[in-house]
Amino acid sequence: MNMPPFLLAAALLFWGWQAGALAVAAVFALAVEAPRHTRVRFDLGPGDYSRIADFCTVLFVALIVFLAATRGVTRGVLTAFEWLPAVLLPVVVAQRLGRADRVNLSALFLYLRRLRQRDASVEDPLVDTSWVFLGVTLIAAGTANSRGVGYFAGVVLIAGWALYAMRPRHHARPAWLALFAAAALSGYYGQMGLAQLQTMLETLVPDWTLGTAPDDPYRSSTRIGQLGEIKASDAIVARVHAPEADPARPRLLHRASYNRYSGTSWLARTGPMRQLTPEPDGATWPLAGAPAGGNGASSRVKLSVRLNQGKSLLALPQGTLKLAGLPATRLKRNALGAVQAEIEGDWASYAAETGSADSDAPPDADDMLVPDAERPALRRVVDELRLRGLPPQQVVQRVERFFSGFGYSTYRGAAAQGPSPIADFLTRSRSGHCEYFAAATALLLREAGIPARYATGYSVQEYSRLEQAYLVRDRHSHAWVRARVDGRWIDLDTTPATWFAEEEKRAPAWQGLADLLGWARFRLSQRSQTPAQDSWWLWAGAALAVWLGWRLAGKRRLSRDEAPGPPATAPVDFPGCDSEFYRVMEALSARVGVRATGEPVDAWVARAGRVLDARTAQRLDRLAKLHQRYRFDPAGLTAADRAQLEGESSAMVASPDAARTGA
Amino acid sequence: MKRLVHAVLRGISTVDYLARARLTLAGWLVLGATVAAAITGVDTNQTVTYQAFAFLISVLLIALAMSLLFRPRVVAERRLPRLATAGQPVTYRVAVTNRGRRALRGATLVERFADPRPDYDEFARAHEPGEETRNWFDRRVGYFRWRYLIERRLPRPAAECPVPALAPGQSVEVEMTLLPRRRGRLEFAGLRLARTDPFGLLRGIARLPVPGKLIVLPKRYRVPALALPGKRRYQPGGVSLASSIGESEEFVSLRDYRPGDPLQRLHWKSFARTGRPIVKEYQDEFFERHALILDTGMEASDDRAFEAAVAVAASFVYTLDTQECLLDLMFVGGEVRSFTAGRGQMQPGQMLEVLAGVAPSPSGEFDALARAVLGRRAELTSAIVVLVGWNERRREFLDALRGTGLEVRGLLVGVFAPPPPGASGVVVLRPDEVEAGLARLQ
Repeated sequence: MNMPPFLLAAALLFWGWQAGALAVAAVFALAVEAPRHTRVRFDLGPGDYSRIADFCTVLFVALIVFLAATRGVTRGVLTAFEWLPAVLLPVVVAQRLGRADRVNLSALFLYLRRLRQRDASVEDPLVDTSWVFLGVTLIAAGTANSRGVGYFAGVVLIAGWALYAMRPRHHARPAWLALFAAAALSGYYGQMGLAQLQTMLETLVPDWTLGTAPDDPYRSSTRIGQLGEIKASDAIVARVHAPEADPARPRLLHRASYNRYSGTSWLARTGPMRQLTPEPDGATWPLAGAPAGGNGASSRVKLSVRLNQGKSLLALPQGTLKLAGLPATRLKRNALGAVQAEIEGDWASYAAETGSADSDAPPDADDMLVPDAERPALRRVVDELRLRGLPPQQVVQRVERFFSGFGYSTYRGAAAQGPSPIADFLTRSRSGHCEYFAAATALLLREAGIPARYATGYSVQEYSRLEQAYLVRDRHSHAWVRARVDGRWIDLDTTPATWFAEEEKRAPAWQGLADLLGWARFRLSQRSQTPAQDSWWLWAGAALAVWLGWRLAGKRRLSRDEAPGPPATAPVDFPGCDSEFYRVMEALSARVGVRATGEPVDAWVARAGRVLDARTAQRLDRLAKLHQRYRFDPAGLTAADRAQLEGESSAMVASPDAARTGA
Repeated sequence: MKRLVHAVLRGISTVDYLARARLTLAGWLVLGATVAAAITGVDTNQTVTYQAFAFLISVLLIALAMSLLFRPRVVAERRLPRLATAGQPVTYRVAVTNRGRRALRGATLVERFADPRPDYDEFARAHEPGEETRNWFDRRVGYFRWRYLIERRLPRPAAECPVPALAPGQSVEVEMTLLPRRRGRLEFAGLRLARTDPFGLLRGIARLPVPGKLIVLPKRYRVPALALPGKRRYQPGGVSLASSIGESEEFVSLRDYRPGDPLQRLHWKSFARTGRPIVKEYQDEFFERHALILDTGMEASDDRAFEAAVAVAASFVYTLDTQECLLDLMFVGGEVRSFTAGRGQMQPGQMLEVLAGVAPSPSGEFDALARAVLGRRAELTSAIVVLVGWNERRREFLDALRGTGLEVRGLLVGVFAPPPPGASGVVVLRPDEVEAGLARLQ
């Protein structure tokens, strides 16, 4: 089944409209339609098609790698799919410029090529890639994520065009139209239902929108009580662009706070995340609690944070009031200070403006909750330190002093004794990792009457001279406490200062090399963050493809005489094979039935006589006799008879009405 | 684990069979686009391809519903030939009658064959040709072996055969063609009458129970005209061995009766004239008698080599002129079997039917075949030995045959590079170049 003219061009223009690349799409549309209107053809064989298909494959892989490196895996892969029509275009254009307007299946599948190398009898059918390309184009248009009804309408129209063109003729046209309208209507309501279903799921299950567990602002599963060694990776997750030993640089980057301790997890019991509104430039985001109008900022620090699948909890210094230079599509914040951004790419760079204003929610009853299981041990320590009744400042000092006598350890060899791991940590082991210290401190302060929250984020200590920035690695993940002291939330880190040095000892020998590669990748990703900036590769790729195509096919161009008109059919070679009567039999086959292999012409004519009216049957009989003479009479036909066979056959083929039944 | 793999492959084959029966090419395309739209549109915030998914799945569901409404009342009768040949298309006719009250338009016919899926034992035992060259995973899972076992039981897939429009009560004959890939018995389960839905994506199917079977003879190669040398040997039993009905001996003379002569040979007129028993004496019969020995003992499970060996044997059976000689076909099939063609015995066509059913036997059974052949060597003029493996036992067998003065032609079918030691005088035929190899025969 051949594709109707202009269908593919329409699909490409639709893709261009959706992807915002109408000019490019117009060029593509011209490229796929032009061969229909020109007789320029090239003698392309299976080997040529294989090379073109291989080129497209390599191009697509390179595109995915490049985009994944610059925009993150998810966005990169989706963008690569968006441009898949551009990548596959050479195959379709080559097919249409080829002699047979078909491509060997083995050109598209390396596996089939290998099979054929092993066994030449493996079939290698000729296929029309246009239909697959049409499907790819429609799906690629959708990955451009252009909202509105345009996409749905375009898909329905173009798919409808294609389906109508290849509809079977044994069903009535009105039935087809009615069913297609039903499908379009059902599809329309179906897609609305799907969108609503996802919205509903997002509302019901916050995790759906909040990414994976490490980025969950509502739950932080700790490794408190877990036996064995705690390990984290060396991957760089953030960069703080500040001079070395800058006293103003942030020491801790906050990501999320939690207010309820349950089991060994910290939970955030607050309302849903609230969407923030950017300033008119679209990249400056005042956070809740910032003084209205004035900026109130006292310092500004530039950060780059690695994103988790396009959306991530941002790492922010304490007291962040505003984010600048952040081209996020959506920014949400919860009452405990966790800020989640939806943004394309692998890395987000922004400037955090900090000030003295406090943007976190004031304390409530949740910030004072102490689990019953932990209370006896905590009460004993509070009594021991005589914290009750002391001013908050002194309580904080005594607690800090208390924990300074503890040790840092990421290894736990034996199960906790007593009611809980926290009690064991406070009263017996007096050693643990930062989650022990933060959890124990928060609960201890609460028991002493000071509201406290468990905070997670990163510690900023490692400076890289190569990058002129502080590097934050996954193993620098840290937990501390946000305590309410004198009406303000302050960060309180009771983990012994030696923890950082302990963690640094775990750095592998190849870390320097890994950092260098990571830095190169980071710099590459910073070069292009928007499609407009990197469209150069598209044009460069297109130019390369055209040049390669010309080099490949230039020498194989067929002369005008060689270029085939209608599609090639099997060569026939027998006396009288050019008899026009064959066309008559073909024209009447729908009515009379196809002449079976081996069925004599007379038998077929007799069969036709039972279906056709008498006059037409007589004409057919006369023609058949001429045809038989033309085929088998050694003397052949006279010029007059030959002309009669040709003329009457052509007339009968041209006017099927003459062959109506029972006229 | 293998049982689990077998069960999974069986399930996959079922789904594949049903999908191929139902989906048209356009249907596959729309289904592929639907799956692609579903995968890329799983997060409705990231892309809008979920809209395409919703539309395409609606189209497919409506097409499915419409295809299920296809319930024709049709009967069919298949007129099969009795025999076919592997690798050669066979054409036959099917009569279709519309017994319904509505006209039938746009329908097609496709053959349905008996379930070709191998059972667990066969799957575990079999080997696909060239399986040893596959990677570890493919060998372990055996997907290609599974596919091979299915494909060898089925003919090459044929295009759907269009059925002309049928008015109620009308009958029509359509011509169908199939191409058997392998010798043996091809069992037909029935016919599948199908018609596409209005979108042309899915087929509505009616299964017509029309069982049938077709014996597929082995593939044959061109064999050069061989002058089988050798002298005639006395054949005990005379011409009666070579004659299916009555006697057609050559009369030589009369002589006196000797004890033990059969009474049928008494010449009654002479008996009456002379008064003593006189018997007729006939000339002893001497024929050329050739043996075609097919080695079915497989050393390794190389199915292609075995099939090529059977085809080589079939080629000789069909080509050798048995007007004036006898040809014994000998092979092992549970026990040593011998079939004789020529001089009124079996016809070449019947011998080919025998070869259509030959199956591999354990390698050890070659000894029994060797003993049987050597036991008959006194009657034989020459021997053509088609081997599928090479070892010391086979070499000794060939030497023993040659030692008795027989003209022996050894053919070894398989991939042997270089030729195995001790196989001098044996023509090695590669399974994929058998005809070229046979052409070199003198």
